[in-house]
Amino acid sequence: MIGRHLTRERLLAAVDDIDGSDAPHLLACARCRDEVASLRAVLNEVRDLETPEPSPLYWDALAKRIGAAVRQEQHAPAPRRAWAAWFGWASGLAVASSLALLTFAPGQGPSVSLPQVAGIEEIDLVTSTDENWDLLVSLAETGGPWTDEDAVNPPPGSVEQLVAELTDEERTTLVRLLESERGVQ
Amino acid sequence: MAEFEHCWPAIGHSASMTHGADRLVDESAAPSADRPSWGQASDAALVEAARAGHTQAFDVLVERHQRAVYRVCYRFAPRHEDASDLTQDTFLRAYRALGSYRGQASFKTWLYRIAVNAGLSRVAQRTPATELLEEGHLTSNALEQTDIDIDRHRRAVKVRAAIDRLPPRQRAAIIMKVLNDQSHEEAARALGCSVGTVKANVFHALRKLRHWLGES
Repeated sequence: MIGRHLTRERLLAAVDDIDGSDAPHLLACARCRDEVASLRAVLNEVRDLETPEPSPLYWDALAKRIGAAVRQEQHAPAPRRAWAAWFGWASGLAVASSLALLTFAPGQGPSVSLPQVAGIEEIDLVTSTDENWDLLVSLAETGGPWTDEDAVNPPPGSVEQLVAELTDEERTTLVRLLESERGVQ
Repeated sequence: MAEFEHCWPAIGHSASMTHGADRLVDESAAPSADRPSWGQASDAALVEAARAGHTQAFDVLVERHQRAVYRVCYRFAPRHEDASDLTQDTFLRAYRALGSYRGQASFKTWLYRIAVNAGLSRVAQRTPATELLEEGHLTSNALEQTDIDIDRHRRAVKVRAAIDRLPPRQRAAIIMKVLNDQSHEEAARALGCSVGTVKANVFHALRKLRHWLGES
């Protein structure tokens, strides 16, 4: 009895010859048998592609070349990243806004009059449509994609890269500031 | 970290050490007769040392993994010079990102993922360098080759060209699973996706390759 044809996963397992659990079906079902055979033939063709092995001397040369590039990188002046400017603006804004909240919130904090900072009062943080800001809030709240793999992907200057580089203490402070900005108690 | 301290007690306690862009290399903490060789240290210990500014520790990581990285890079850039550049780019990216490596995946897997990302970026930026593999560039001593060799070479050229046509994710899955001979689980870790996604990509890639190679 043939029964149902093999699923994609079972076909792939059969191509890889992982186990023989589908052998009875393959014996009985020409369609699945042909499918497995043709896919396996392609797989073997791909697998048989050769990777030319460079000369043994090459590896020493490559290691030295990479080492030189790393040392050059190490001693190069760190370029001012785009996120640094953004972070400077955002952190300044967050601190200033927090101070403003502490100062002007009824019944909270000392009554200290602070000098007005031009422009800041015009920005509505709660209804901001700035994707970077929303992402930063989300990352700080959720803990962000702190896996090794994800840390590789964020491009230099991205918000993810910035948040990933914060210490736990800095992140906690950032969360507190962001929550106060959004009016979260 | 404990292992690292065991290997190099002086590292991390030196007053001359700094972190960040202005890392200093404390050569006094380099391996000596009374310290284990860098080459005997684990990847995790070497990463810690490299983070602390010991570029020599990173050198050992390069020596240890450059062959594996090169092989992956060669699949994305099938010219020796391009594969070398891509390998160097991979290690530079890894060096820059060392601070964010947390040891949840093995260092080799982490490198693989960087290599795949670098390879996919290269593929997106350039036309695949398959032109060297076209028939007009078949080896100059082709006359000395047997007909079987030439046929096999031509077939390999077609297979490579077909792989180059695959969508990036399917291409990366085929490279890691088939050409790099990894398990589905290893490939998933290196590609940063689920095992099911790797299987689906490999399956669809094989079907496309079968179709294209069948046409030829």
